Amino acid sequence: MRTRALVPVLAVAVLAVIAAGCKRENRYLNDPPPAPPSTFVRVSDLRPGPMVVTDTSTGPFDNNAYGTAEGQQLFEQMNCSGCHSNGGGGMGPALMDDQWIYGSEPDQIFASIAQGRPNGMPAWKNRLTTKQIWELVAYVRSLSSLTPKGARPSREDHMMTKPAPAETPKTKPRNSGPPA
Amino acid sequence: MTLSGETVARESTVLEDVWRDTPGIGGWLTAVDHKTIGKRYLITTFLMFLAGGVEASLMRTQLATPSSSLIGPDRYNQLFTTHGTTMMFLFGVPVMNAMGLYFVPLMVGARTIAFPRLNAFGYWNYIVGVVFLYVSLFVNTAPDAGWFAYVPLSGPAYSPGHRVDVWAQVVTFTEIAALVAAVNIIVTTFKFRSPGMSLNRIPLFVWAQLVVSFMIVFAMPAVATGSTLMLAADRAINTHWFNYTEGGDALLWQHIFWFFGHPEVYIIFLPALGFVTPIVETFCRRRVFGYTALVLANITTAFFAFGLWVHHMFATPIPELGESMFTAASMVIAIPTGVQIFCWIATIWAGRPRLTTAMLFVLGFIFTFVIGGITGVMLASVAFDKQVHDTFFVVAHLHYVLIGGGLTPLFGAFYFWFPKVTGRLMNETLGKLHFWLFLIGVNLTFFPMHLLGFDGMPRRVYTYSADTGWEQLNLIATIGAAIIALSIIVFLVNAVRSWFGGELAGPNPWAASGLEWATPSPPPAFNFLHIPVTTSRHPLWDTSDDLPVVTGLRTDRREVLITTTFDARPDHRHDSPPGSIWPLYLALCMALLFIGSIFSPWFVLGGIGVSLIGLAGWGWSALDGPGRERVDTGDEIVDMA
Amino acid sequence: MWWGTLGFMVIEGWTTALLVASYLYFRQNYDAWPPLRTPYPSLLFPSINLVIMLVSFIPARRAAAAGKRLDLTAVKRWLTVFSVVVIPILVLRWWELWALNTRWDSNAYGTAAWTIVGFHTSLLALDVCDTIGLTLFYYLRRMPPKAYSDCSDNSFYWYFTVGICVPIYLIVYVGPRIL
Repeated sequence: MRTRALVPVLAVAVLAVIAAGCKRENRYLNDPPPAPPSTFVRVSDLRPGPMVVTDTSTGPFDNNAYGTAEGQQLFEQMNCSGCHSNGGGGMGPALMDDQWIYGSEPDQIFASIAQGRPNGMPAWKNRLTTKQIWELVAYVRSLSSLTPKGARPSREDHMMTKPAPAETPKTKPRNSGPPA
Repeated sequence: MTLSGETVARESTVLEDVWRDTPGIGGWLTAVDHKTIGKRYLITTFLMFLAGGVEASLMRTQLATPSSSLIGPDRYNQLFTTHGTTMMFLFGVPVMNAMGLYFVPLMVGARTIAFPRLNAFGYWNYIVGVVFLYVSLFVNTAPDAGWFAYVPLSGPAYSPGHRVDVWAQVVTFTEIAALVAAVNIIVTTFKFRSPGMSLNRIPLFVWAQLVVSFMIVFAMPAVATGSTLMLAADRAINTHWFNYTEGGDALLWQHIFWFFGHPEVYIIFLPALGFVTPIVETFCRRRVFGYTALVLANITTAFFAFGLWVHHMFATPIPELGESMFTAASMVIAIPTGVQIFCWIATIWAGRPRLTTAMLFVLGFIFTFVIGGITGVMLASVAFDKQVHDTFFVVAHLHYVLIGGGLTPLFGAFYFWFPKVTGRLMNETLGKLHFWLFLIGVNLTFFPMHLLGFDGMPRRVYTYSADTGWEQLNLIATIGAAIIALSIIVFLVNAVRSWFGGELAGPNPWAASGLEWATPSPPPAFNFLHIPVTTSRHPLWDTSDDLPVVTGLRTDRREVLITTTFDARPDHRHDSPPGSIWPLYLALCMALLFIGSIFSPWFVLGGIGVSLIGLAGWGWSALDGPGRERVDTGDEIVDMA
Repeated sequence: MWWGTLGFMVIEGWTTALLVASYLYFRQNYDAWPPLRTPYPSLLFPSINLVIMLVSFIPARRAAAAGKRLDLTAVKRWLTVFSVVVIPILVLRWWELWALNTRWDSNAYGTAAWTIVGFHTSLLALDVCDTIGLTLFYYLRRMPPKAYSDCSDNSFYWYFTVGICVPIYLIVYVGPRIL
């Protein structure tokens, strides 16, 4: 009977939904925080050999709606908008575009936030916990749609300055270079 | 003239063939018999009641001891939201609709309900809602913002992910089902009554269902607008309904939700009042005292119910004058309800009560609901409400009125009408055990919550510390919950045993007076062999031997008699549609449309596209039924076949 | 069927009333209405559409009367005219939406205005598809006499759809100039 053949298909579909849903919706209120990246994080793609721009790894909260939303709130509370506007850039570089001066990998963004960068980016290592910096990493990546759509936050309860990250079309990070 | 047994048998066979749902899986999917749909609703809503009860038991177990780590805060949020959503949307309203959809056609003497395929469509939508909510519970996506999903917590900024979107769409599906049931009941009650059943002879059960159906028509659009057009839109396409920085208003959600929410609790409560009158009449062996007063009280309660919603918002910055008006209205609504209670007390006083299980439940209702009503009038005062808002006092009040005023009469109704639906009587001893365990359990669980509320225990907290001093009352409440669970197990055992092996009931085991008792138990697919004629409010008590009937409806096709709205004079004949797959198809299209809209607005367009195919198919299939050749021109019925 | 149509009309009408009430509720959150730097809604396309809608009453009424008389030729003729007249209404509705001169995600005013007109568009689209479908049925097959009452039910629902558009036009398009 054709119904029999459907069962494995349905089972796979159900498992896929379960797997996707569970992780995305998790609220990790009592879990231990994710570890910071290793001490060596590449911040430039200058290296011997062919030019390689990669964005292959995922941050701990990239797939997590709650973590990314927490990052969205931290972005506002830590006044990141003061230099980065709401992602459009100003005194600081834009975070919504596809140009990443110090790289777009989660480890690299973590390092940028924690260590600070020339021309005015403060070092947040001793002011935010590791978990909070990872949440900001997830949010910053969501601004240029590098994280899955389901986990990206919707609009904030603020004035409408840009489309919500959930609506931004996906970009491919390009070669980094000096700011325009 | 009495028909011979042979004629009856022959006509019954013909009618049964014409009216029953086709057997097999195809028939199961295309069934439109209102009793089939009614039974499905009753079974599914009862399963939802058990699910909600399990959620409640888990919550009570967590709260029994201080600083308990049985259930974490996130899971607890999902539990109380799912418990509330299940009990209010998936059990409370649908079970009352189910009783109406099953019994109203029988009580008004009709062969079927007004729109059978629409009825099936409503049921399938309801099932989609049930499946959607419970699947989400297993994939960690159950809603967690409370059953009323206040913004800004439930908005896009503070409830990331899709949990609240699940809630919004579950509300949509159940709202469609409720509206469909309401329209069906209204039209059946107005146009399908037996000849002679003028409006002042309609049974009070039917009056209650009619009034509630009107309430549904005006209340449900509010919650659908709020959840689908406003909240889901804010979350999916960045509208600003509740974004105060762009001119939106978080208070608007509360207004829109409670404009629905308050009538909602009366939608659950009023049908239960409709159950009480027939039970009281039957077991006190006298006509109810004050029929007109009861009808007017029902209608008045329904009107007032729409003017109370702000009493859920007393803790918001609403102008004082407005709050005072709603305080007054909230107190005034106790009057019509009180009138009804006094009418029943008078009936019991003047009658000779027979304490069957159903009657016990009615007495339990009067006791429990009056306590809940009193705490309600207390809460109506703004000053008092500001002290106990969002504490367990409110939890105690709402459970006393919903359980006392809704669930208790519902259990009574089960014991009373179970013989009609299944043909077998329930066991009275187990029934009485169920009743006493239930009454004790409910009072033991919810009475201490009044005191906890006074002591300051807030709602929706997953635990509390030991130095608050709340643990004793909480433990008592949990023990009470265990007793309720035990009573439900007793009920289940009773129901299952009786369904399969209970004592056979005849057509009228209780010697009741309504038309539904004039047909065999369970009723055949065609309800009545011949449509009865009604000459009084209590047809079976006032006709000495045989019930007068009308003859002449065709038996070889699904023909029903339509009567005039006020006086129920026969007007014309109408052909009822047979089973159809289009209701199921269209419900699946709705599922695609609304569930897909969570993920992308394009699903809305796609869903509309496939729905149009469904509508076309529905319309086309309706054109070829028998009797379509007939034309009704005024009084004359001309056959053009 | 008349009762069913009436039920649907009450439900959808009441939903529209709630949306309009919410739109008016937002007025108290703003000093200027429409909000600052939002232009008034343009009246050109909405007015044209309103006129076409009122004109469409004629074929609607004729089709309903023909249905009552069981006059197949007249039913076919007037349903066809009816269908032809309502299609431009739906097409123009696209420009009517943009005539609001705001976006649904700009601010609460835009949200409310778009939702009212957008919700009405869904009713309109449903009715247009209904009418076209009914017309096609008459061409594709022989319609049994009992089904001729669908013509008047369809027109009845059309009167409601157009009727409810008049207050929407007045409140959403003309209203900001007055409020």
